[in-house]
Order: sequence, then C-alpha cells, then structure tokens
Amino acid sequence: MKSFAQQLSKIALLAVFALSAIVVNAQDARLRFEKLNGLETRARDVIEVNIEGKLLDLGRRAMAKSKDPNAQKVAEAIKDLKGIYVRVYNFENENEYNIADVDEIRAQLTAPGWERLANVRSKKNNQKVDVFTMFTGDIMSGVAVVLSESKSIVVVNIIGPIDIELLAELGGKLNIPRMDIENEK
Amino acid sequence: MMKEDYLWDKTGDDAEIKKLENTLAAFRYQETAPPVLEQKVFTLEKSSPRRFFRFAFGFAAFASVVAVLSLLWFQLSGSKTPVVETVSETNVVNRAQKTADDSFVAPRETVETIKAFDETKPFIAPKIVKIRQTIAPVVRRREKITARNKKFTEPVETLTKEEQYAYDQLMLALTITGSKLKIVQDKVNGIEEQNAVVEK
Repeated sequence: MKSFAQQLSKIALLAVFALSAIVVNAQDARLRFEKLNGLETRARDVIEVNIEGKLLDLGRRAMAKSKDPNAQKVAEAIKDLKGIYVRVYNFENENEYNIADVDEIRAQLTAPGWERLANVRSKKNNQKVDVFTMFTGDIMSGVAVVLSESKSIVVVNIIGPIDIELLAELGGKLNIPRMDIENEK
Repeated sequence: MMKEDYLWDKTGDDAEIKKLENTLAAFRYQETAPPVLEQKVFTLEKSSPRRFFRFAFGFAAFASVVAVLSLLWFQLSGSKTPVVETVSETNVVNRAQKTADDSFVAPRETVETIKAFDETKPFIAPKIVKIRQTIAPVVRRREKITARNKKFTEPVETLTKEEQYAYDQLMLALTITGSKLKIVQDKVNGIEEQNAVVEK
C-alpha cells in the first residue's frame, strides 16, 4: 500500500514537472516590450493591447456568442490561445523613432525556438515585416509579427497555437472596432 | 268717550276726533310733483388692458382647444391613410437602423416594403399632414414595428460590459495581427506570381 502511494506521488510529481515545462516553454514565446515604452511620448497614436487569462476567456466567450460566421471561425482558431500582446505606434513624421528599438525586438526573435516564417522588405515606406513562429513539438507555442515602416511600428506577440493563415484570410473581413485610437497625453 | 264708528268709516259724529283731525290737518298728505333729482353723467371707459387680456386668454384657450381637436382628428384619420403610415414607419425603421448595434435589426423585407410604398407618389398627402403625423404616432408605430420584427430577427445574445470590452480588445488585437499577416501573405503571393511569370 505504501509503495502504491509512493508511486502515485512520483507520478504526480512528474506530471507537475511536465506541466511546468510546458508552461515555461509557452512563456518563452513572450517578448519583452520595455524598450518600446519610450516611443509612447513621441508617437501620434499608440495602441496597446494585452489580452490573457480571464480577459481572453471573456473575449472568447463573447466571440462564441456572435452570430457572425467569421467570428465563429476565429473563435475556433483561437480556442487554445494563451495570450495576445499588441503594440502599434504611429508617428507624425518619418524617422521619429530609433530603429534600434525595433531591432532589439528582432534580436529577441533570434533566440532558440523562434523560426522565421516570412521576411518582407520593401523600399516603399522603408517597410520591413518579419513573421516568426515557435513550436513545442508539433504544436505551435508562439507567433511574433514585427513590422516597421517610416512612420509606424507594429509588434504582435501571440502565445499559444493559432491558425495564422485563417487569421490572414479574415484580416479584412472581421467586424472590428476602429483602429485610430487617440493617445492619452 | 270716543265713538269707534267714526274712526272706522266716519259715520256718526265725534267732536274729539274731529278736533284732532283739524289740528293735524296741516300734516295731511298732499299729492305734489316728485322732487327733481340731481343728474349724474356716467362716462363709459374704453376697454381696459385687463379686459383685453381676458379676451386674449379666451381666444388662446379656444385656439388651443381647436388645435388639440384637429390634432386628434388628424391622428384618427391618419391611421387609415397608407401614405402617412409609410412616412412614420420609414422614420421609425431609419431610427431603429441607426441605433441598432445588436439589440434591434430591421429585417430587409420591411425596409424593401417601405421603399416600395415610397414609390407610390400619387398617394402623397399634403405636407402638413406628414409633419403632424410624425409627432404622436411614432411611439405607437415603433412598438408595432418592434413587435413585427420580433418574428424575423433571431434572438441576440447580450454581452456584459466586461465581455464587450474583452471582445473589442480581442478583435482589435486579431485585426491588427490579421492585417499585418495579410501584408506578408500578399507580398509572398505577389513574388510567387512574378516568379511564375518569369519562368514561363
């Protein structure tokens, strides 16, 4: 009886270790945005979205209630998501930000685990777009999108699995609140 | 001793009474012309402002009664006129569509029917009728339309404040992500198409 209890406790301990390993792996996909905080005062518009935990659950629940078929698709695509973090900085004039701030974010994506999925460079507006993904086994554990243009910076960090193709497909079709949010000064 | 008969009908003779009569004869009633009374001239004042106001108030009361009665008459007669109904329904549906976020949606059939009604120009009533009709029956018609629409619209789930906020935030984040991914997707697809053209 005692040995059975010992075995059970061992299994429980292993399960805890395994779970914590998964959590740690998932947390690895989280980017640090501290360097971008300094841009808030210089930018004309700032959008900052942090969705995780309870807020994410509420959002998912609300999305599931929607009658919009696209919203239903998105709800399915994000059912295992753990968090979304978005930063958008729009500037009045060109070169109002230091490109090193964005490069610091890109440097974080060179860490092991991240794989570059797409890399777009355009001379028009000096546009640079990078899409990175992180996998834990066969399961996607994170996505990062970094876009820098002459007048704007966009960084998106998604933790957990998500169907990015579906998201790209529905990008212009979702009924979304307006994006021009005034920066509180 | 006095004789009472003389006092009553002057029959007989009563010296004592006669003496008294003669003494008081000076005070006997003598019919003379009535005294001339002093004449007083009363001039009638012109209508005072108070009187004028009394008249004005009376007229205003009468006018308001007439207005109320005519309004009631228009209402009652208006409910039978199809054109007037069309005007009111259009207003209500337009308002409902403006305010409809998720609680109230006018079905397309209703809007189309109303548009069809609007095209029947020969039935257009005088302008004043339209204006008056839009005042009172709006509420009643709105109730009617809401009741009618309930048959067509599906029950809409209501979101709590927190759910709405979370939904908006989530959708905002997903839209931004989706739009940026779309840029990449379009660029990649564009390059692939260019390569395909070059290879041909």
